[in-house]
Amino acid sequence: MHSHGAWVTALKRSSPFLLSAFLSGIVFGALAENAGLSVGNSLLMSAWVYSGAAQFVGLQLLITHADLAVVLLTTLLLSLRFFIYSMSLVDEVKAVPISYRALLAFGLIDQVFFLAKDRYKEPVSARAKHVFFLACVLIFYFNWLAGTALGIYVGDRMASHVAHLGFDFIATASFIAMLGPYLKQRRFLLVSLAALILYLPCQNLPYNLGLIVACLGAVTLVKLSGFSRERAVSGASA
Amino acid sequence: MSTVLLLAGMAGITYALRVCFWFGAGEGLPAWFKRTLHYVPVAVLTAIIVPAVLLKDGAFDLDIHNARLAGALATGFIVWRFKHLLAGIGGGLLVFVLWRWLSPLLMS
Repeated sequence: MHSHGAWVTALKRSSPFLLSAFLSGIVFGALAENAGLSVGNSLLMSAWVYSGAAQFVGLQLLITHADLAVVLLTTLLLSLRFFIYSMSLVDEVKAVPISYRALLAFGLIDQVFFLAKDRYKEPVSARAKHVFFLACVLIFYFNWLAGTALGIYVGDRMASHVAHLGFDFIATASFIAMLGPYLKQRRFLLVSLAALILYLPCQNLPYNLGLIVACLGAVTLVKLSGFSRERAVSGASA
Repeated sequence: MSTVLLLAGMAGITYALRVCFWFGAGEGLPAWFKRTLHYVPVAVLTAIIVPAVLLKDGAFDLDIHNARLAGALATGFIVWRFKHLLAGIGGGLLVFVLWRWLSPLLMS
C-alpha cells in the first residue's frame, strides 16, 4: 500500500472520533479564555501539553496559583496512562527511525493509541502501519489545536451549549464504539469485566488513579488466570 | 513569562511519559509481558466508560432515567449489529438526547 492509502485509511478511521475531540478542544479554549489565560498561552498549552485531562486540571491549578510542584506532580499523575500506552506499543515502533519515533510519541493520546494499536494487528506492510500512525498523530493534533482556537474565539457561550445539548456524550459514545469490537473475544470480555469490577472500589482515588489501578489490575488478573490455565493444559498433556 | 515556564514544565512531563519507553527502556521487557500489553486498550476503555455511563455519586445508576446508559446501549447495539462507528455514535447521541428529554415526561 502506498503512503497515500495509509492517509486515506487514517482519515476514514479517525473521522468518527474527530468531532468529540474537536468539541472537547472548544470547551478547553472557552474555559481558558474565561479563566483569563491569554490567547497565546491557551494555544501554547494545547500545542505543548496536548492532553485533555492534564490541560483541564492544569488550567484550574493555574487559575488558583497552585505551587509549581503541585502542578507538575498532578500533570505526572494524570499522564500515567500515556506511559502505559507507550509501553504497550514498544514492539510495534521498534523498527521506526528514532527521530520519527520522537514525533509519534508526541501525538500519543487516547484515540490515536487505540487506532494505532488496532492497525498494527492487521496484515498490511509495516511501512503502511507507521504512516497510518503518523497520519493519525497529525490529524488529531491539528484537530485539537483548531478546536482550542475556535473555543477561544467563541468563548464560553459555545461551551455551555456543548454541555447543555449533550455533546459531551459524544466522547463517551466514541469510546464505546471503540470498545465494542473487542468484546466479541472471550479473553477481552474478561479483561473488560475485571476492569469494571476493579474500578468500582477505586473510583474516588484522586488524579484519575482509579483508571490506572483498574487497568493494571485487570490486565494482571487475566494474565495470571491465563498462566494457571496454560499450566493445567501442559500438565494434562505431560 | 512564568506561565510559559509552567506550561513548558507540564509539556516536558507529559512528553517524557510518552516517549521514555521508546528510547531503549522497552528492549528488556520479557515476551510474556509484552503479550499482556495487548489487553491494555480494553482495560482503559472500560475504565473510561464505566464512570461516564454506569455510575452516579459513587453508586450504580441503573435507573430508567439514566439517559447515558440508554444512549450507550444504543451505540453498542448499532456498532455490534451494523459495524458502523459513525452511525453508532450518532444514534447513541440521538437516543441520549431524546431519553433525557422524554423520560421525565413519560415515566415520572
